[in-house]
Amino acid sequence: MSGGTMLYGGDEIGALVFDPGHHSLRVGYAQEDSPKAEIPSVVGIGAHAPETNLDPETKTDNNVTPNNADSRKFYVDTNYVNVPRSQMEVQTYMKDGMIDNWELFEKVIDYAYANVIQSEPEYHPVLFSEASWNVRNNREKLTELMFEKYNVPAFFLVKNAVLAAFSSGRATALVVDSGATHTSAVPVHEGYVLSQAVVKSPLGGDFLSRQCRQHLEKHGIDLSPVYRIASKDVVKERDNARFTLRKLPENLTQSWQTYMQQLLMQDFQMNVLQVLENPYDERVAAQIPTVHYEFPNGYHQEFGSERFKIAESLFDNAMLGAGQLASTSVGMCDADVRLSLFGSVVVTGGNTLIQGFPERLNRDLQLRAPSNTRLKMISANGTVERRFGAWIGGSILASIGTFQQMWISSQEYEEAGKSQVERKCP
Amino acid sequence: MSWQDYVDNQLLASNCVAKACIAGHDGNIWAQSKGFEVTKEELSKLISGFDQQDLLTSNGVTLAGQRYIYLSGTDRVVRAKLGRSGVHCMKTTQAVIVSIYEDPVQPQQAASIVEKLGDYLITCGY
Repeated sequence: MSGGTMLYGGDEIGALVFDPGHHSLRVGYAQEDSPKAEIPSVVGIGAHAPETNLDPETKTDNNVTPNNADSRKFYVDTNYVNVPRSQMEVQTYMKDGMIDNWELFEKVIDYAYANVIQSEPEYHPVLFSEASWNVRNNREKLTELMFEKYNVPAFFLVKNAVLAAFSSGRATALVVDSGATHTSAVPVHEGYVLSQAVVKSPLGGDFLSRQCRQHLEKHGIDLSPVYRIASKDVVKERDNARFTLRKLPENLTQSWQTYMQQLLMQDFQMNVLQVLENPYDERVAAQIPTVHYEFPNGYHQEFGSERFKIAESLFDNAMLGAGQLASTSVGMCDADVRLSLFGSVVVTGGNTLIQGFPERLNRDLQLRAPSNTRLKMISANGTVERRFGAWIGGSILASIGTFQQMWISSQEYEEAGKSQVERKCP
Repeated sequence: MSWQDYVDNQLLASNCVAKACIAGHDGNIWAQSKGFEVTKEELSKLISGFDQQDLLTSNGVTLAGQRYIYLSGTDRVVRAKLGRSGVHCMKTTQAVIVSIYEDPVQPQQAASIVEKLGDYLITCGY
């Protein structure tokens, strides 16, 4: 593993792995088996601070005069965002699987370095994951940001589908990734994405959360999140909840309240939803034991067939169902690789943790694949491996010896500019 | 510098490119490395694939009788792979540079070499 030509040989590589997603940003050290932190992909933006910056101790850069934008307060990470605060808006910096709001993103990276990594950026090579459909502009912008602002010594960008395949020990696989905002089928061949055959749909965890909320609101269930509850009484099943409201600050923004409700919906969907192995059938669903769930305000009931009906929406759509996505994607590939793709279908992403997801996907794919195709699905058993599949793949990749020559070094960046990322990170 | 010099002294000499060839947009071969039996038809197919990626996605990239699986590309670059070896091609103003790399060379290394030469040729008007 050591060699005179390598920049960072030996065991002390100290590389960092960042895996930005719509639900959260996973960040940690390479060679570890899970990220150090999972920071939600939202930033709380507080109101402008009062204009009292006249004391000489205020730190200002030599050329930068504090303007209104700098005096806004930014709140990053669960401990700061989930606190009810007057006039704090909540905004996500991700859009369509890619980084969209760079100002907010920088705040989150600053936070990650300060509170999670607790070290200077210039000492650690950085590996970033990206969406398999990431555009050139974004890639160059990220490269520029990391080298110019953070002065990282080395940088690399990898498609998250490739990393998910690596974390399952494969270089060739069909990666079915169901996350918060998208479900996608991405074929990977020998460690490279076949970008013409990437298929995605907007049916993901957030879509299910919306469906859950619609269903619950239709049944008149009050969805007050935890922060509103001061105390609650024990009630019988399906009785109206009896609780007292907590005294809250004024002017809680709509975006924040919606965000907190979304967290409640995510908890509900994690615990209650399930997917049948065969397409939804009322009678079959009615026979399966119900699941009990209690809401923060004390209301509780058993949930039966509706758990399957809601989750079914991920699979029953003729064009956007998960099974359909996967088979369309394989169909768009070179005929030579199709067999090897069907033989390694990697299931990853937090949304796939819904009970029954891999089994149903297996059945749907089997139906759509040519007969006699040997179909093999690889889905990690642990929650950590499924949710952080791409991050773990990045951790593995950044630690192997042969990868050390592939980093874009700061020197290369200075010589060739940000377009070097197009060459070195296809 | 003759075109053969470009192939031998710029591309092959880097040790990142195993075989290479430079051809015009019509498929006419200007220079090729020893033992690289690529034909004009294969090159013409490849060149038309720069603008119409669909031709390459289903049929792959065939060079010297060997069929590679198409990975990705733009209107300037085409990447393909088969096992541990692969193809990296770049289109310049008047020419196309075709390179084959083999184990243990990484695609990025071949890409850097080919694209550096390609950018240089573009500045020369070729």
